[in-house]
Amino acid sequence: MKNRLRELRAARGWSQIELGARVGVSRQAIIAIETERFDPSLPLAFKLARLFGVPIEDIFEADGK
Amino acid sequence: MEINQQFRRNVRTFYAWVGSMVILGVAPVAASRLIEHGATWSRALGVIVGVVGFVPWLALLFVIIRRADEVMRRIHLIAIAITATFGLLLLITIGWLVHAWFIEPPDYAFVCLAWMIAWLIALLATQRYYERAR
Repeated sequence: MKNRLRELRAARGWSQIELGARVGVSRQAIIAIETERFDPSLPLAFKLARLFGVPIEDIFEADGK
Repeated sequence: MEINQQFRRNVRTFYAWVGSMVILGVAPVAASRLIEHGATWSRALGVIVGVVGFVPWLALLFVIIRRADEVMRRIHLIAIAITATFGLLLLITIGWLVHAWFIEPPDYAFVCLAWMIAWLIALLATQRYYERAR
């Protein structure tokens, strides 16, 4: 799944540690999602969407879309 | 969870980790001494001490993995799966080498050490995989 997490995080000037702390995950988790090696669970995806104030579809996009 | 509370929990976990490592180091020495004593009760106690010495470290590891987020849990799960496969292959290989008279039955401490090193390598490699860009 493709995502715009790095772009959204950079726009707010947050570090990976800072973003991780805001949604309650480790820096490694943010790195794994940003590098698209790991697709987050629905609860985590919702947390991220709520934090950035955008719908989930604006952050994550299925590969085949 | 509040940052301060989380920090305290991490400090407690660190001390528990150090404690479990000390037990992990001391237990085999104590167990060996008890076994060398020779009496049946002493040897039985040595076995118990040797096995139980591993439990705090394993339990703490389980707690740490359980507390971790979904990515870290995935990383640990994959690393454990790789290590289990390696361990089984190692035991099968040693078994056949002994069966074919190429080697003497190895010391279990060596097998255990090889398995733990494989675990560490698998953990680092899996973590590296998840950090590397596609």
